[in-house]
Amino acid sequence: MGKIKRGNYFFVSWIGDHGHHVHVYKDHKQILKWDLEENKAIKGVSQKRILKLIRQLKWEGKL
Amino acid sequence: MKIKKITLNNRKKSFEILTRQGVFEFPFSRLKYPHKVSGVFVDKELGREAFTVLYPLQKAQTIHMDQVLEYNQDQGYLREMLLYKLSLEAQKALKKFKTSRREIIRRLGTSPAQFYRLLDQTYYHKTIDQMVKLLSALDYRVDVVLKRAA
Repeated sequence: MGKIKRGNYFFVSWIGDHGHHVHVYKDHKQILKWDLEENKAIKGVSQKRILKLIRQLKWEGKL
Repeated sequence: MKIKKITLNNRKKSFEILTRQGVFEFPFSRLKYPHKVSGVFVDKELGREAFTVLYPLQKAQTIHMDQVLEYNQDQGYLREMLLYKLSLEAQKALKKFKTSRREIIRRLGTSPAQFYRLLDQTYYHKTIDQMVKLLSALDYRVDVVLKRAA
């Protein structure tokens, strides 16, 4: 689990007691915190483009 | 939560993270390679909300502040996660519930806007009391299960 740069966004994922999360950053700001197990936003608003990138990273086994 | 400063304590085998809310500790044992830490810096690309640990051979690992808060059992973080879980359960309960939403709003005695705010899992300006009230309006009872911390 580490930092991945994809399409101007930074993705940081980690697994904790409350599940598997990914934080998405753009321009030094967090724009989304996403629950990878429930597929729901924990914080912020999900955008189609970000969700597509998350799906892609998941498929590549990087998340 | 933004990180002001991070220091590496080799004697305690942990990081000391200074934030506006106080100092938090994060042990090396939680890292991928606990015995190979060669450096650490606050990650500005991630809005100072994470830090990157450096290992030999140009390897690195990024730790988010939420991970630190979870390790330190921070009340604010735990409260948010509890509200998030209760909101998800309320959404699931609402899907199964057969009575109209208008009836639930009437039972709650709130406005439709407040009802939808309670269901919104990204909205954290609600209380656990309100969530318990919502779940009971959906004919669910909230019980307590205590789990030993890992």
